[in-house]
Amino acid sequence: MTISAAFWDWVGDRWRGRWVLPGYNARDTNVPRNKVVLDTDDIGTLSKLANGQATLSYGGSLDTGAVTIGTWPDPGFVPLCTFHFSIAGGEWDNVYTMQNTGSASGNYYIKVSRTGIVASLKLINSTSPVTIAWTAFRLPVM
Amino acid sequence: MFRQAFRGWDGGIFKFRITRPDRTVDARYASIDDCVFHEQMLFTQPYWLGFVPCPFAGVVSKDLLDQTATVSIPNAGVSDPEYVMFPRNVSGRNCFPRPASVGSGNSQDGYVSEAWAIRMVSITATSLTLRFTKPALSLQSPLGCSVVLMKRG
Repeated sequence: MTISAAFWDWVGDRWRGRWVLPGYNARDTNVPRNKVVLDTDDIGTLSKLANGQATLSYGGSLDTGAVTIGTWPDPGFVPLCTFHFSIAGGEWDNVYTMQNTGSASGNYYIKVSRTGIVASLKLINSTSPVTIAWTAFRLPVM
Repeated sequence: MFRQAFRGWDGGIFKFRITRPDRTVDARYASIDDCVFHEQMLFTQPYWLGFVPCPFAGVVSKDLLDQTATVSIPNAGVSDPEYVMFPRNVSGRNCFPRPASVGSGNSQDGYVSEAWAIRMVSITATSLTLRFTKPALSLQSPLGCSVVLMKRG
């Protein structure tokens, strides 16, 4: 059998490109995944869908309420998102620590949907807005 | 009839695209979101996985410590790389997004617990600065921070 290092062709009802390491056959469906360089049926790439920043400031209450901090066209899935947080323009942290300032409300969240991100947080104090830097990737999590 | 795949020069761009089976656009003109594969997807691949050692790694004092560390990163031609930080704790384990542990001790001698934090101070095309802080009475320090860099595209 002829060994093909790569193909770019119709496979069944759709187009497929596949490229494997030397010694393997791109047409062989049993090639171990770690020997596959690129397979358009199993992309394995982490490309950016969208990114942005949003700042939540004091508006009379330490509870920000639900704020849409990012939107994008529906890719057909809920994307993986990463977040960084900066308090009052400071350094960027993986987490945002909300201190207990006495409010009875405790319903704080960041929710990612197929089309955007909604955040509801409590500010540390009235003079410390939080900036959220977010990135959505083309990797379905739901 | 539209093409489900296209590769080749088109208007000064080398295109390399396969559309999603549920889309009916011509692959030659398809947007990235209409594709299972699109040449622009390669642009944002991670290009650096590095480790930034904590300047006070291994220190077990009960003092407050607060230091920054700057490392060189490969110049990928972007001024604001996308970054993901994975803090590495005293045991060498990844503890994303941050450590949380309890430990024995007392208010005089300190506690064997991890209460440190790692934050990103600044990033440019060629350097990355992280800030490592450990509060007083916490006796453990991080080893450092693994960082992944990507072009934003």
